[in-house]
Amino acid sequence: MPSLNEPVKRADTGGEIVGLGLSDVIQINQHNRFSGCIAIECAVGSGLLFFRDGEIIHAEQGKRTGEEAFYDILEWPPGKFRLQPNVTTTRNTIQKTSQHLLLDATRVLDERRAGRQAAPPPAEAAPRPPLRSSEVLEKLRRIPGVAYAALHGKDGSQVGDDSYEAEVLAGQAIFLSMIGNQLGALFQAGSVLSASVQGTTRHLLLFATKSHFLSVLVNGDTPAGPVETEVRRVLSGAR
Amino acid sequence: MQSVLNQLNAVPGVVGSMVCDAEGALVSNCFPPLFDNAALASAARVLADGAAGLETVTGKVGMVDLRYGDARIVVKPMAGAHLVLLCAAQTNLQLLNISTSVALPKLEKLVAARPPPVVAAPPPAPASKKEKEKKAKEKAPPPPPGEDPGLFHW
Repeated sequence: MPSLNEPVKRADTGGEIVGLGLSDVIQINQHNRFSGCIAIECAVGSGLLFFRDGEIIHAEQGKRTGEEAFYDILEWPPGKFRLQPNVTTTRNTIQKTSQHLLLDATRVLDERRAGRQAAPPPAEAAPRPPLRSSEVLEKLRRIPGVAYAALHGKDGSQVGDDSYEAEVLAGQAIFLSMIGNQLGALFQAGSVLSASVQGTTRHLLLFATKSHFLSVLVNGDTPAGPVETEVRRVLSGAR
Repeated sequence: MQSVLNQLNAVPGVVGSMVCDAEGALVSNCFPPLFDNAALASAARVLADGAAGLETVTGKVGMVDLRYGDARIVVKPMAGAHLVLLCAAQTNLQLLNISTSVALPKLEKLVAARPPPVVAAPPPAPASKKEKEKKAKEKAPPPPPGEDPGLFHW
């Protein structure tokens, strides 16, 4: 098998997959028992992940190697990757299974984020008050691909928006939650917490709280996944 | 059909899968014995009743993803039927999509190849009014002697 020092002539596979994160690619590789290397490039830096029979055996980015390098790479913003089958390495800096490594990564990244949040804020930065629902809705409607967003009670009553669009959206959301709750009861899964319906003309995203539903209508030509991620980001920032 | 559903169940996180037709009948299922058929049949009816309503805003539905505390229900419409997957909450949807995109054409063929449902014989036509009156007269006991025949007897 050729090593990194001996460039392989085989065609590499590369690209960007919208809505598919690096952890998803790792899981797919594990499932397919992939052997080779993934070269990752983004604005922050570049790194390499080596696989053998679907398991990650080595990671490197900059001067870091092993698990720390892997966690760094996973924390990076979206970028590009290139799959290089049959490229291998003699180094073996990771002993954990990919599944174990991904589970640990969520914990480590949470701890890193918590550490950053715990850092003392600059003196001039005043504590930010939580956003009002109308401000949140305005922010959501500005997300590219979002056609409309509305907040309503679980009985279908509109909250702060008496428009026809909000009424239609509320009706659809109640209907979706009703189906979700019925199925949840039959499968002993409980009440629906969030849902998405991907259609040809529009996608409907539903987020449930204790007393309200947030419904977001997404244009059909926009993938629902990235919009949902962005909606969740806005919602977590509003808390 | 069972073997295709078995293959879908092999995707990490998938607990069970079933196929139900557009009329709300359960076509096939591959669930652990804990899930009784009555609940699965009810789920099939809920989907058949609700599927058309969901399309009013979104157009033709490609996928419904319902998330719960510990579970996720993914519904994939196909020609004349629905594929329903009950999964663990953390199931990788991208990985599941890869498997379902392979399985759906196979399931569509199998659903289309199903023998048509047996139509039950129509119930006998209701008896005409005259016949009913005639039968009632035959059944009613004669009034006791000396009593007004207009009284009802209990």
